[in-house]
Parts: sequence; structure tokens; C-alpha cells
Amino acid sequence: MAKQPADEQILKGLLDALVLDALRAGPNYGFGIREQLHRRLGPDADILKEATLYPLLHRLERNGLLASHHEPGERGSPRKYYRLTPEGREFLQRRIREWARVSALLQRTLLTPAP
Amino acid sequence: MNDSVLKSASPSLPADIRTGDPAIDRYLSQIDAHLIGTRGIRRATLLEARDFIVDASTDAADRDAAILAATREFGSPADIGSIQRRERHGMLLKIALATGPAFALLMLLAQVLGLPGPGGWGARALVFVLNMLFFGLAMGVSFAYAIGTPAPSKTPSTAIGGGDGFTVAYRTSSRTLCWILIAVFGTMQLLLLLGLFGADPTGIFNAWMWPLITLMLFVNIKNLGAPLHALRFSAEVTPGALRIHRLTGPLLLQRQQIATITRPSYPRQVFSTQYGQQRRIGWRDEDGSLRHATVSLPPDIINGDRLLAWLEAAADDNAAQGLNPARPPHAG
Repeated sequence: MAKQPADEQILKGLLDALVLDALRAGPNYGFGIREQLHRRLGPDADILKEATLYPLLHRLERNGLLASHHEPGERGSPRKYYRLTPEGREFLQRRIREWARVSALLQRTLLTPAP
Repeated sequence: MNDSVLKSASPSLPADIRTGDPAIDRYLSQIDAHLIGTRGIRRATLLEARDFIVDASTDAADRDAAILAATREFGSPADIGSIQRRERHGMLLKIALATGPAFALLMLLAQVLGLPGPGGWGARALVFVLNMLFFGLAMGVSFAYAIGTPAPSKTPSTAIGGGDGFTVAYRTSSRTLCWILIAVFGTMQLLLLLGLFGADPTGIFNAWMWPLITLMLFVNIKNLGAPLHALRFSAEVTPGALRIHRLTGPLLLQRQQIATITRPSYPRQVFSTQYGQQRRIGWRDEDGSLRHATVSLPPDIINGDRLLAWLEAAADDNAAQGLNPARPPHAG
């Protein structure tokens, strides 16, 4: 079935928060972020197929939610690390509160059989 | 805009970026075809893509399938190129707007104070626009499409305890440019001073009125001070401490002392005697007083972005642990 625009918006918002959350523990590079997301998502990691990492990371960086720097890499060439900015941290906290509110609402309504 | 003019000639993927795997190298070549800028600029994007694909496929049972999946997961070459071009164009605009109007305003002020130029406000307005475009675009194009971020060095820092540290310094080409700027602006400053007393041997500045000479002397303080600052600047960083060597003397900070990292206001940066984007480090001394030091971290400095990451992490960690708040509790 074709994916609806609303689903895409929800997924996009969720992926932004998941990527930011993956960087809460500290700076990480592209593949490291991907691995952390896979570990956190477990059997639901399939939703990552809906996104491409480079556009996602660079959009978050352009919006000031992430910053980046280079460290020497194992292959002798520099490796780009991403880190949360204060704006990114604040955005993530806001998103977590919003998702928690939606989750609580769903639990009280749609997921609870009507009396 | 025709982006091909913003791409320097390079017939093939640089040898040190090639992986030897035809599928990965083909993907990287496809990305490269969509990127703009000099090899140094394009290299950053290519390295990011290469490392992701190589990391994702190294231990895979089916390597070909893993490479294919990783390239899809990372992004299409067209999308990656589009994003890189948008970022570089954005940088051009940002730098042009930050530098062009300031330069044009300075030149307009100099004309008003007597610098030879076209008379009448209509002609001056035209010169203002041309100066703004010429200087802004020259600076913007240089940093957006030509000057790449230097690779981080592996130099260990031993002066303040060794360990897993690094050194921050300007690269050799930047230091050479600083010496040239000092020679040019130093000579100009001397001639301006002589011109103030009608004793400039070249005769150029003798004809200028004193307000114009005073303005140029003032402007030249920055032109001379900035390269001097750059030549004297270096920093050694270890996990627990930072030592900065500055024109005004060395500064040793323990990581726990770092309280805030902020960006000085635009006017403050314009009137400071340093070039490039600056950061203001707020740190607490032994008495608990908040003190500040400003460092300039332009993109051509080696490990400049690592130093900024270190400073921000230190400030964040200290704030989270209640160490060195930006305002002491009794300040209200």
C-alpha cells in the first residue's frame, strides 16, 4: 500500500528524534550512529530504510540541531563526528515530551476498549 | 548558477580515497560528479561516504549486498551532491553578507573623509554596491569553494601532561600569508604615520586629510593585529586541560574551569583585532569569578573544530554536574 504523507511526517519526526537521541551519549560518526539506532530499534530497525542518513544528518546540522568536527580516523584520513548542540538537546527534550503526551493520549483512548 | 564553473578540474577520484572495490569506487565517483569546489572541499564529503560504506560492509557475510544496502542507506549521489552544493552556496551567501557590506561601508567612509573617488552620492552608491559585491564575493568564494578544512593532526600534546591530546595551530600556508600581511600593512602603517606629519617619502599619504589618515591607521590596527594574533596562537589540548598561547600571553585552563562558550556579537568581532569566527570562553578562576578569553577559530586552522567540540563538551559536562555555572548562585 502506498505510504501516506501523514505517515511520512510522523516517521520523519520520529527519525529526527531518534538520531538526536543516539548522540545524547556523546559525539559519534555516521556508521556509529547507524549502529546505535539499529541496537535501540531492534526488530523495528526496518523503519530506518525509509530514510537516508546523509540527508538526515546534514539537515539536522543545517537546522542547528547538530554540529560536527573532524577527528583522525583509523584509516589515516579524518572522520567526521556529529554532536548535539544546545538547540538540538532542547529540541529532543521537547519532542520526547510531545511523544509522551501522544502516547498517553493513545493509551487512554484508542488503545483502551470503550466502556 | 552553472555549478560546473565552481568545480576545479580533477579527472578522477583521488588515489587516497579509492578503496579498490569497484562498486564503492563507482559510487564515490558518482557522488564526486555531483559535488562542487576544489578537491579539498569535495574530499570531506567523499571521505564521509567512503567511511560509511566501508564500515557497513567490512564484516558482512555477503559483501556485495552489504555495499548495495549501505549506498542506499547513505543516500543517492544526486541527493548528496544537491545537499553539498546547497551548503556551499549557503556559506558563500553568509560570508559575503558578513564581509561585503562592512568593507563597502569602510570604503564609503574613507571616500567621505577624502579618499580619491567619484564625486556625487549616486556614483558613491554605485561604488558601494560594487565594493560590497567584489569583496563579499571574493571572500565568500574563497571559503565556500576553495579553502578546505585542514585534516586533523595526530600530534600528541605533551606539554601539559601528555596523553590523548592534540595541538591546534594555523597551517603553514596561513602563517606565510600572515607574514605577507604584516609586511604589507606594517609598511602601510608606517607610511600613514609619516603622512600624518607630511613626511611620507612616497608622497601618497601626504595629500590625505588627517581624518582619513586617522581612519586608515585605526583600520590598520586590525589588519596588523590579526596576523600577529594568528602567528602567536596555538593551543595544546589534553582530556583534562587546555593551554592557549596568545599574543597577550599563555593561558592554562583545567577542563573543570570551563563555564560557557559563546559567540561574540558581530560588532564585537568586527572591532576586535582578530580575523574569522570567534568564540568567547567563560571560565572560573580560583576565586570563583567568571573571566573570559576570546579565541578566533577560522576554518583554515588545524584542529580548530576539535578544540571547539572539546570546549563545548567541557562547558556542557560542567553545567550538568553543577560545576562553574554561568552565574554563581549568589548572583541571583
